[in-house]
Amino acid sequence: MGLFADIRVDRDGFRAEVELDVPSGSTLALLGPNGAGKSTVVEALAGTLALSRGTIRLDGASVEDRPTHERPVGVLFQDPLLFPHLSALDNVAFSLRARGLARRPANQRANELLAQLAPTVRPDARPRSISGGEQQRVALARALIAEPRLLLLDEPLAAVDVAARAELRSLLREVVPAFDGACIIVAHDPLDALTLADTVAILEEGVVVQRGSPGDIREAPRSPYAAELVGVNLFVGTLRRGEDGIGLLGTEAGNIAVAWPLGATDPSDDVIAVLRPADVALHVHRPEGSPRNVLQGRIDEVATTGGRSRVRVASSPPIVAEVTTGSVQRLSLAVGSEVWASFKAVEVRLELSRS
Amino acid sequence: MSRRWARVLLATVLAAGFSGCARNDLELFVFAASSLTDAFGAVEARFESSHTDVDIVFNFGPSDGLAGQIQSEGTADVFASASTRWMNEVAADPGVSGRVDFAHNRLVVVTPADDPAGISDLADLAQPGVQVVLAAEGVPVGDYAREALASAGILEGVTANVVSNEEDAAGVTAKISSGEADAGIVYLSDLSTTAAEDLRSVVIPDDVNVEAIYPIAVVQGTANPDLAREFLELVVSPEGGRILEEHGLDTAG
Amino acid sequence: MRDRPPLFLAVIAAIGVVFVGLPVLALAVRAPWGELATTLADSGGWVALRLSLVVSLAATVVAAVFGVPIAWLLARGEFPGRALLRAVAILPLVLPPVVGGIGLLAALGRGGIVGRYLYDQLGVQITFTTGGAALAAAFVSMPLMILATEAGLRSIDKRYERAAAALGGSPGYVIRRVTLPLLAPQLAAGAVLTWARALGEFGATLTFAGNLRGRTQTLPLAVFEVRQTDPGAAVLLSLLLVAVSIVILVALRHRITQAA
Repeated sequence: MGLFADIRVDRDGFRAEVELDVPSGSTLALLGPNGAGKSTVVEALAGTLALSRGTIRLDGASVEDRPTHERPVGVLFQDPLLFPHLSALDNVAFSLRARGLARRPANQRANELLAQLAPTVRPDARPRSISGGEQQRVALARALIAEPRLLLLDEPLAAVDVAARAELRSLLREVVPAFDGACIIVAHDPLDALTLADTVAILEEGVVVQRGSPGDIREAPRSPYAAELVGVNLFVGTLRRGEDGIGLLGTEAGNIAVAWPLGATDPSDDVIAVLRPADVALHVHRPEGSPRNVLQGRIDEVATTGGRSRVRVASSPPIVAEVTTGSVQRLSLAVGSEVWASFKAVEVRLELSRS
Repeated sequence: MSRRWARVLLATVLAAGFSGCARNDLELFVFAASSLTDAFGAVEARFESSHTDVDIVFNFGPSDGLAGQIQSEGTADVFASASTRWMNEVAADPGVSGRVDFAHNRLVVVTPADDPAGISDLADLAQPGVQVVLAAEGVPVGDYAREALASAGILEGVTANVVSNEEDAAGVTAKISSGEADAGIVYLSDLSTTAAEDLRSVVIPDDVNVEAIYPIAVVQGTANPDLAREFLELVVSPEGGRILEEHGLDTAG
Repeated sequence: MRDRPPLFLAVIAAIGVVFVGLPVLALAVRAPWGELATTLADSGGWVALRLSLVVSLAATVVAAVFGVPIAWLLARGEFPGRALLRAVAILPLVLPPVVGGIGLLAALGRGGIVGRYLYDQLGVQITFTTGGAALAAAFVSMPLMILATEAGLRSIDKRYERAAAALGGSPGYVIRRVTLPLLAPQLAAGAVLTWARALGEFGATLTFAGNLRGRTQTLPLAVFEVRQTDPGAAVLLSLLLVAVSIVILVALRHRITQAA
């Protein structure tokens, strides 16, 4: 039961090839940078884009040959796309009327759902007279009313203003777990996805590069995007043994010193190293002392949230440090300042490739 | 809401339009030259008063156009032409019966009321610099005008002065009364219409003037030959003659 | 603080308005208003007006029935020869109306390539009928309907139709319940333009449908005929047509200006 998809989609020279397995009642978050192919996958599942190859099965039944209107799929887009010439009630009832249900029972069901999901919206209101957040609520009701087996949420919060976003997010947090079909949510802001999803799939350049629970990703991001997602420094390169037993990870942008992991061969390719920004210290002069890694560079960005500041340094390799805002002020750190960043070799956590 | 409105409006229009097709009244189609518009309008009133279940449907136009329409589309029960030429055409195809010449008309020169070019006789039309308007060749009054000018020996000179060839006599009078041209040639009967109220006329001498002959006939293939004949008979009757004369046509001879 | 159009635009626009309005103004000034009552009674102006309204409305319906599908093909279809279809569809706009009338005669007249079968086999004659007048008016005004509808279809956000499909709407249902309602403002505007053109049609009607009083003599044809004998009446009838047009256009002004 649920969604099983093994598909290849080609569009304008771009190819997406993914395999997804989402059991009924669970939610998959599809994350990835812009252009990764998330919308392409969603459109292929919805049926608006043809497959080059593959199969899509919903609750065991193959749907890849069916046109969009014959698939039991509900979609919520970034734009609510409520039909401007219909009232909120008629919008919600649309799916039922389209499938042949008579006006009265359709409207009755629509009224119930509207009252449940968008209580502030009058059934006879026109879409242009209600707020963006309310429109998305109505759109959600519209997508759910025909009890689809697959719910696709394609960046549903992106176009909603910040104030309404929190409200809508909590609505989704109520509705989505209670939904008994399979649910896929696409998000650009990871917070939306991570709070709603049971599993996460990270899509980059058309393929899934990492899959797992939100916790798994957080623990062990395997790509720069994933790392960015969870806010850590990530390095990828070849590990070689250096002098006095230290390990040297040679990345494209530079070398860092790491503690030699147990059981590693010399050399080891495709080694991933994760370093928490809080473990990086900043200095105005070259520091002396035990830290094996001392990088020099200019500050690219300072992002302050309350008492913490994340400082991005354009060193080789580039690095993000997290320090107190007080320190930033004390050291007069600003964009363009030359700084030294240091961290201990043992603070770098390594992940050897699985091959 | 507005959709219902539209349906009601549509239904009304269609009902109104096609109710005209309900043939409660018998219809008689009379195709007649434009110069007969006023005269035949009066004849219609007389005819319909004695034939209350008959509705005469007129088609007024230039005789050449009417002849062409009869030949390709039929429909006419009666044809009244402003020249024998076009009646001959219709007689050849599809054919006519009961043909009779029922009226005559003559030509006259007209100028604007203030006579800017100083026209005192026909020959003045050939003077250099005079702007002349005639009906086009093929239109009876245009053919007649050229005939008269040829008789007077000034056709070439006047042709050089023609600034416009109009579709019908009304076109000529319109150009003259608005002062767009200095002189034109139309029917004598046109003088009795309101169109010619402000015009000044110059007589064309009888020896060069053309006698326009108006034949009328029942068209072959008509669905109402008896009714058509009755209309014909009214037109050529003394009563009909009186009506025609009231509108400037000559029925003598 | 309102956005005022620049002065030079207003000046040019004023000149344009004068250009268009002056002839109508001149007619109104020259009209023999004293004879209004008698003119309307005598010259059969009412009959011609009624016929004009019936014919123009029927023409608009015909233009819509055939024009909308053509516009659909032009806006959404993908087939070879689309450019040719567009050229043919717009042709009546470019043809002089009389030429259009002659063409209609050649096609649908009693001796026409199609008309002759209609007449010989079915006894049906289209020329000299009110239907024929409506056909002639539809012929010249259909391009306006097609252009307006095509523009409207192109301007509709296709995402609405995709959303409707995702909600289970079959293609036919989506057209009926989503596309056409979204298209309605443009359709209405197109219909108004079409109607206005059909109302003023003269050349094709005269050539194809003839000048039969009460059957095909619409108001423009009546004006042409009455000027033979009474130019003052012609002016008055012309102003009647202008007045009717203005009344209806003003009543429908929201339809014309409404955007999607």
